[in-house]
Amino acid sequence: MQIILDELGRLETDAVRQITTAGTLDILEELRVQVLGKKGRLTAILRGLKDLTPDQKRDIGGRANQLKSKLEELIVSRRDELMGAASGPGLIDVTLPGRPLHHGHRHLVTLVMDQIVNIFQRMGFEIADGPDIETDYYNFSALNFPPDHPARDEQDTFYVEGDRLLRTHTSGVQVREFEKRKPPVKIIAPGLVFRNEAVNARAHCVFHQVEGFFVDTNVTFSDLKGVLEAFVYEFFGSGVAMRYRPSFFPFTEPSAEVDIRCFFCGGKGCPICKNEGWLEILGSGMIDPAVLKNVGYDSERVSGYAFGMGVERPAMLRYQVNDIRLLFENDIRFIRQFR
Amino acid sequence: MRLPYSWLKELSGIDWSPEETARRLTASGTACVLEMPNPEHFQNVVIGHITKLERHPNADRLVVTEVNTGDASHTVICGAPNCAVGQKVVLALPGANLKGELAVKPITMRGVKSAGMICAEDELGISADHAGIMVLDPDAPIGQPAFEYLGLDDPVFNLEITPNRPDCLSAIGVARELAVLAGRPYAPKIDPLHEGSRAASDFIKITIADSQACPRYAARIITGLKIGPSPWWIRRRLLACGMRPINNLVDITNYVMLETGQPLHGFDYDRFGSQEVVVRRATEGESFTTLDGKEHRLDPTVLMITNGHAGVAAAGVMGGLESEVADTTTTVLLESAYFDPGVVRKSARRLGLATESSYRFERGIDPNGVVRAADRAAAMMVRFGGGEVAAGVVDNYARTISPVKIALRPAQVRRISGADVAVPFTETTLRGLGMDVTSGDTLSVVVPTFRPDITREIDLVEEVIRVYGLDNIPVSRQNGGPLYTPTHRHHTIKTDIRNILIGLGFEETMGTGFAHAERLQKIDPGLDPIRVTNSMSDEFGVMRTRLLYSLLLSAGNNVRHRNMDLAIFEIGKVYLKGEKAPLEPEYAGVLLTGRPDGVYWKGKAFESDLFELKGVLAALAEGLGLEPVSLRLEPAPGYDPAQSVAILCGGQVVGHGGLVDRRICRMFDIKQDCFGAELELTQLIAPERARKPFVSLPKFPASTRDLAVIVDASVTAEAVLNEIRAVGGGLVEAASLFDLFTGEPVPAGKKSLAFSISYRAADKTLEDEEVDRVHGRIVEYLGQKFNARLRE
Repeated sequence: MQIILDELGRLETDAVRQITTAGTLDILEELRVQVLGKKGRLTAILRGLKDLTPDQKRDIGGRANQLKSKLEELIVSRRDELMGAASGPGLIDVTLPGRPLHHGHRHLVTLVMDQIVNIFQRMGFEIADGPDIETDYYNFSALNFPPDHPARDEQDTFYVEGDRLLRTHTSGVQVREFEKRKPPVKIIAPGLVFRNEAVNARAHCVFHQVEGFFVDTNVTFSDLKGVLEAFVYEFFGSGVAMRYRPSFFPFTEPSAEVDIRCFFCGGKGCPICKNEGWLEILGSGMIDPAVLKNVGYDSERVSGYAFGMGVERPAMLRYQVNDIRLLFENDIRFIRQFR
Repeated sequence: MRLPYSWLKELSGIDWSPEETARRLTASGTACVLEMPNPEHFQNVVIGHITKLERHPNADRLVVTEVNTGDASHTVICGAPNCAVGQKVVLALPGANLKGELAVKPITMRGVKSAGMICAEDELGISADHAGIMVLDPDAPIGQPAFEYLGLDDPVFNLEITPNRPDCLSAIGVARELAVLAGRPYAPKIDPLHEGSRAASDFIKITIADSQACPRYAARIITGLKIGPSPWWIRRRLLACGMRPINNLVDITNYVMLETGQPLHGFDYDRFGSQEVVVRRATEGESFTTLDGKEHRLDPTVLMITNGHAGVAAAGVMGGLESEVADTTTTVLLESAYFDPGVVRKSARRLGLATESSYRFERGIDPNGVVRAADRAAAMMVRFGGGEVAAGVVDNYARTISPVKIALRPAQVRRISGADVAVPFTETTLRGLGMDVTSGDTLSVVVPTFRPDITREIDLVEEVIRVYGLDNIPVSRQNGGPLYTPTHRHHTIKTDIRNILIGLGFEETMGTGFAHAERLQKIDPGLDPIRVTNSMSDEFGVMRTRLLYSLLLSAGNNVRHRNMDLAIFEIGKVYLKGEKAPLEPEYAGVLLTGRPDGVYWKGKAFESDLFELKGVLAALAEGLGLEPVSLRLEPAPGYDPAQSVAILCGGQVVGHGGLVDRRICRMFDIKQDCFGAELELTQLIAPERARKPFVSLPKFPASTRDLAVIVDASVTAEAVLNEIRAVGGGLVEAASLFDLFTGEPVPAGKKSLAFSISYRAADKTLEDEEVDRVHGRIVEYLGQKFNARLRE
């Protein structure tokens, strides 16, 4: 019994001295194995406890376990000291590159389209979409474009086999959704549109539009102005000046083009606004009763507004991109510039 | 359309500045840009009188002139063929800076000094004419600044007239708009016309064979005319409007068209070929030469003006070469007619012509303004062509077009606009626009025929609102309509896919939806794409049937610019022929090439390969809440059969991918391996499942064992893993491959697979013996099933 206690005392003295003066991690690890390893001195003592009486077990076992904890702590703290010395200030080159992880980028058009759509979703508009390959009915006739009318010339049309065309605007979604629903209908419809034009820096034969429309009882132009103001304030900045210019679209009456104060020159006139002080951003109006009639709505009971805007134009304006073709060339050095 | 400020001011009587005028027009629907003249370009440019002219002693083609500018006489050398003594000309003196780009200085030409330059129209920026110097009217005042005299100080409005407003394709129409905006009465003054004694009906009669196409045809005869230049003010206005002066008769027809909107045509009566105008459809194969010298083969879509035998004009589009007004013309047959807009549109398209005349007829002119315009032109021809007008108009009004009468409920203005527009304002506005309004609870409105766009109550409402001013309508800040509208998974999934792929380092690209037929055919040989029938370019010849096409196009654009390491994706539609309508399924496509992660000093960079791709697909599936991804070798068009796979999630094929066929890559200028995948969007929508309750975290420790076995090269990793799991029963919690090795010391035709297996029981701590037993059983079974042997 006393022999064991003496052995514990010697072990403590030796181990504490050796651990606190161990010069390398390897020596420290060797010490740990000698004392605390499977065949270590302290382990052997603990194993020998099973031959003792319960009282002795408690006494010596308690002391041996105390010593075990003490030595373990000492080893850990000596290890920290030794490691700190090995990796002290100045020994690591922190300018070495980190692991090459990359975050990608949304396409600029997606970035801007998502922003636009999100703003309207917050105002209770539901997303809908329609086919890119359309019939004359949905793209023109149902939207009150008379056959053989010059209004059709304004939208150079791609025709495809099978007596169909590539939609020239997203407005056809109005008709398709009205046919499926009863008022109130409040929808935002983003999508790709096509115009049969020569591709150059300023115009492409493909671009994106976002169409919005709302039909219910008592919807007025005043409501349209409210929604568009909310959009413009959120998208271009609160308090941006706007103006409405009467215009002509076969499917709205009255129709209006909406301009905002040029945010480059503040309205003084600059090359970007072609010295007009205003930037055209969207077309809008009150849905023509002929369109409502075509979908079986009673224009005496309900009224509605519609608006449509290009996505590329505000995207390009915002970042002063001067060539629309860059958007479809997909050079990653271009794509990576937008976040 | 271009119109000078002075003309609009004269007709409307407004006193607004040019800027204010432009603003008001724009705010009421006549979009316009104001072009202000630049006086600096006309500094030191004055009217001179050529008093003397001699040959240049040392140059055959030059003359030396004396030009008197009132206070001085200048010696000026001129090379123009039309230069003559007595002419009034425009002289630019030193200090002038024409068009801001041509500085005039005294120069010496072959020994003779020249003190300035006699100007041609192009040098002044008036027109493109450089055939000779500009010769002014004889009464031009010597010494006056040319800027004033030529009326170049007159601002010009460049107007964008929407297709519904043919009435505004005229000075009178725009002036009427201005008068309404200013609240002024509008009454254009009409010059009296003095007719001669001989009746026009003695000269000509008019037969209309197709009154649907030609409801009205009127003619006047003017005799004793003398061709010459028009007075400067007429030419000036034509030039300001962008039209080229020709001679007094042609200029007058153009001038009256610009003023009234009615296209007119003057025939040389003596060369007309008969005394009868016959309006009829062209016959199949009929030949006709327009005055631009082009010969056309016609068909009955074209409406013709004929002399009973042969065509003299394509109605409403262009006159013929043979009866054109020429220098010898003395008697003019002046046509003023109304042709059906659709007929003129088709004629013009058939002829491939678009003229000032067809532009107006297509949009609809005033059938009841036909005679007024003819009278106006006839009066001007008398005044500026020295002629006499035969008595009477020969007017065949075969199909009368009457004004429309519309009932307007004034409350509708408020219902549509949301603004309190007073009834008197509504009435005044409509009257100002030329309508006849009868007051009452419901207004009865008669719409003049120069406004073919107004046929319904809503059209009247629009007129009132636009004159009231859209900017004056109050802004409603209530959010009308439903508080809640649903979102749809087929939309939100696109955002989810983007977020995941972008997080994995992918850049989003965007294609056009089009494809080049031949290139697409190489990718997708079995599929017949939808053809674009009127594309201008092969690049946009067909609709894409595969997203891979657009991804390769984008990759090619990058590789050409030495962006060799790419991880890109695109979400978009492809277009397929369908039973009733085309199909437009949406796909998400990814493409990897090069080493998109770049190099890393701690280890070698990963080359894009099938397993890089598989890892991306696995992460995407995990992010979307789908079952784990597996690949199955399966040929797919566009991919190399050796590494072409079907992509499965939980046994369901969601797309295809693999190593892109190298021949196809080269077609897109890509000479390195590309790995692509195309996934159908609807397949990526995880099925709506009842929410599963969460699984408790394990309470008992796991025990890990490694296992390396040598098997035949043909044995798949997945088969071995499946066996490990099957044999291990519930105790194998996870098993993963951590090494694949071939070559010495592994025998040829064999491979070594090393797995890390984690054993755990849900209800107790596993004893070593228990783990050893299961592990041993796994080794045994692998040996039986795959002839696997343990690698020591």
